[in-house]
Amino acid sequence: LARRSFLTTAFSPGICLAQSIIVLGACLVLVNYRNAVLRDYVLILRNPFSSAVAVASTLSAIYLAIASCAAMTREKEEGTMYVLFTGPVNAVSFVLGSFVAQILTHVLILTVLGTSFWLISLMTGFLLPLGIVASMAYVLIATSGMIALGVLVAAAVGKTRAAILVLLLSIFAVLILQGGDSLLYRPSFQEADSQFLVVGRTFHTLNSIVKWVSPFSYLVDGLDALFIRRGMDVALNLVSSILFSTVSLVLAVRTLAAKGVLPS
Amino acid sequence: VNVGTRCICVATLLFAQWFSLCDEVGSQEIERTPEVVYIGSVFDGTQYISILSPAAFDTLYLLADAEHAITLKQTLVYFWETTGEYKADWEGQNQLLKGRLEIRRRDDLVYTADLVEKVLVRQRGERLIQEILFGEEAIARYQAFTEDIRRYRTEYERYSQAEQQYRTELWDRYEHPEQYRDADPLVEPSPPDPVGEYVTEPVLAYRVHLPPAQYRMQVVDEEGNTIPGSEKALKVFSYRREGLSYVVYTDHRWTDQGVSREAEDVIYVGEADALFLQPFRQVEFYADDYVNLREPQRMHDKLDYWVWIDVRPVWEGNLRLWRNGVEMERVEYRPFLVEQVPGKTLGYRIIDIPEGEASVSTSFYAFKVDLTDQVPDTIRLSDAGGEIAGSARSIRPIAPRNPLLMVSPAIIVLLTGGLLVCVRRRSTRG
Repeated sequence: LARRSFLTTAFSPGICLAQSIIVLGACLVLVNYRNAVLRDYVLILRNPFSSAVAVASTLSAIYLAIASCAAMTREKEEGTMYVLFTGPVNAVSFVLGSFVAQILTHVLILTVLGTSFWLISLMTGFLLPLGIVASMAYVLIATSGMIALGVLVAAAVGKTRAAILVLLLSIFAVLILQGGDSLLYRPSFQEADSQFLVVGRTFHTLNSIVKWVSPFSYLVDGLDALFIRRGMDVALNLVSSILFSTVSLVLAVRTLAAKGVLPS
Repeated sequence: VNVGTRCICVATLLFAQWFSLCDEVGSQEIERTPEVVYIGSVFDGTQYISILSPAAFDTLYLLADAEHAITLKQTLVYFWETTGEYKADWEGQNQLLKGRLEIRRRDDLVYTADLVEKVLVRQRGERLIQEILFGEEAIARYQAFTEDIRRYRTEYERYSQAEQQYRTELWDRYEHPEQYRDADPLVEPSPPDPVGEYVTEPVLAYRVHLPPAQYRMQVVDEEGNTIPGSEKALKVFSYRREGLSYVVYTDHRWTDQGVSREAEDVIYVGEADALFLQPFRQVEFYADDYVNLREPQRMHDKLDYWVWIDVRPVWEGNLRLWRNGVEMERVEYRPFLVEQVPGKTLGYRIIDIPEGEASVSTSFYAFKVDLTDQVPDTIRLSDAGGEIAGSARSIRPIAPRNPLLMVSPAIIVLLTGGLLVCVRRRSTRG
């Protein structure tokens, strides 16, 4: 089931376009660094690819959540899910199959991304550190939460458009909270007296609550922790992501079993 | 009188009333409250800064294993809204509260100090060096400084007279050259060397030097009673890690500088001809403690991160330049002069000052890495004891490729993916 679903995704125009957008996003970050070096004559960076990985992982997480959601709801809407369930397929195998297929898609995305980084490293002279492999491994595991969320929303909503809308709204809300928190809440040396302190605090409080249950936060915060080498935070986000995936998949199985496989 | 005119009159009266009220509020005097405050000269890792800790703030932050001077005073305190901080009206009241400083850890008395004279000494010159002295040493240094100042004034007075005499004679020679045809050439007198350091006037203070811990402090009077308002928590903290940082300049953009703090940092260079590196010994502090030390009246949220602070320039030893595992060159810490390029091009020109000619005109000292011939891939700083730990950095030149070439992987992915989709569809249809 996973193989079938993976091959369908891997040879679709959607993944082709998404993959090139993801690589383009990462490339633009590196172009920006290259421009900065040439403009300022000198730039000190620990790993220019870390920001590129962060951008690429954010884009790929959004794409994979939508793809997993759409793939599952389409199966239901087109009636293929019903046909599959007449064979040796049940809710558990179907949900797991959809999940594993997207994980394999992610491996494909990361492989292409890694190759692109290597090419850019050769072209420009930016040092590609071995730590990038660890970052990508982390991204692979942490993004599983987003895929599981997509599967859960698909199982709960059932219809493609509605499910994608719910998913996008959730991601958008989390992004706004994270953006507001990072932009307006910065009690640093210089900005401690910012007039946006009250608004910033509100964003910070809401984001602190959402962080505990947001797979997107596990991905972003974990990557940040990885770049500044805070092992405990990386482990915490990794465990949270795995737990979130497990809980979401269990809920998706139960929801699918309860709602049935017939198109509504 | 029509309604419009009445409205204008009423509005004018209301505006005048509001304006007078504003004026009244504006002219209200700021309330000053008599308070016991701690003031001090505390070391922040780089220099001595002055602090004021009023009663509203119950904790004082100090660096561990460093000399600090604090004093308890009775003064008038007011809140200055413009800067959002409490200030002291020293002209209104400035009373030193004499006694003995007692510092306890849990309930054990671990440190006591009596009031002693304190001075701050600042060395003159490019390399800022500050020190704090206490007791007889402080008085002796201050006396030596005043003596140096007196001597300098006397020498300067003598120099002024000689200078005046020189100018008069110069003018005379200009007007009557025939009288001086066989005279020796005039020698312009040179000014005396300025005093090499500045020493502040001695004031009474408690000398504090403690290891890192959480303490309570108070000042007791001659009868052993605690002076009201002198009780405060004292957090003495140290750094977590130490390392070596580099401030990096290029010859083209003198005003922009980069800082490399970790050994994993890579210095990427564009089309620069030379890099100028200034190494500093750096230490890493918990940001909340460090900011509270520098700003004892901070009223904002906890700063839960760590910050590197440059504490001392490192000018000893050589910077060793390596390429492909082979040492290319060793460079020394040298003086440079920065000149603004005239004309349309603007920018700066950094000029080498020959050995032994460093003077007041020196703009900065640094290690120069020449990039015109071969770019080294690694730099390491070493002194008499060998390579300084954490001093290695990678340098990589960035090729000025067309940015379109850099986004080519995305185009390749799109084309390859499209091709695969077409092939797959054709084979599926077949």
